[in-house]
Amino acid sequence: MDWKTGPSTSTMRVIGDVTESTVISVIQKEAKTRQFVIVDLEGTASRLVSRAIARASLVLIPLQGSAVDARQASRAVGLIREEEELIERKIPFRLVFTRTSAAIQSRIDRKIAASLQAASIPALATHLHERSAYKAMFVDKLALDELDPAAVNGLDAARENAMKLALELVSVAADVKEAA
Amino acid sequence: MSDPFGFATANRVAAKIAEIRPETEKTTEPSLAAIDKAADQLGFRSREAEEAKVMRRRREVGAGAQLNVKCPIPVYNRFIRFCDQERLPYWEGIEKLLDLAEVSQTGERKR
Repeated sequence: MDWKTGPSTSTMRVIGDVTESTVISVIQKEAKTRQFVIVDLEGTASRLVSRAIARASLVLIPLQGSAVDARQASRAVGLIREEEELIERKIPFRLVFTRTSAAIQSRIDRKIAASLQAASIPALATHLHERSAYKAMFVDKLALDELDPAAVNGLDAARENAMKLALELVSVAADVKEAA
Repeated sequence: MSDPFGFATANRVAAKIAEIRPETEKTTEPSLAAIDKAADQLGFRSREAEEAKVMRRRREVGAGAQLNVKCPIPVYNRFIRFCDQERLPYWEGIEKLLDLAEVSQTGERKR
């Protein structure tokens, strides 16, 4: 919400102050007029999360390469499975590795990826790397393509990484819509 | 087929994006009670603070004096019921009746 108070001319509409009692109706309303509705939730196990999942077309579970995050992600997967039974429809989901090193894949990342594969938990192939450009977006309150390359280190690499992730995401979103 | 300049990929992506459109059909609302129950059991509980209780506004009343009144039982009952219904302490009940009777601060009726 704070990000949108900056100078960015992005056409993305940011809606704040969404509560447990309004989350589903806000999603329903926006989904009628918008091509993409992204619900960015706090990383806590909450009723807001469970209600948003119940209305989602695709759930993305961000995961940093740590055992604590992996356990939290597995709780979210457990909740999705439970909700699928209750609402009697599949809730497609993907895990997304975030803040990973662009240079090397750590031993822990590899171990978590192997564990996901063994349990047939789907994950996006593209990782969102740890890049200062992503932090600069929130400092300057600008979109990635609005940042000044002279002022932000590694901007080109961050844009390339974000584009790759967005393309994979669009592809997955289109596939799950087709399968629905 | 090779795509050295990425044009074919760009077309494929544009086509994929175009496939995703705003929802037109009415979606059914999930049953929240069942979802909340399942979520609670898995530790996904409400993290929102309960609505804050509105504190009753206290009036500045200044110095007080005692008023003891002997009156017929029907008048007594009427007054007590009036204060109960209006949820007023007795002195505010008297004040309200004085206001309704348009009695001024100095005790004169305005009309």
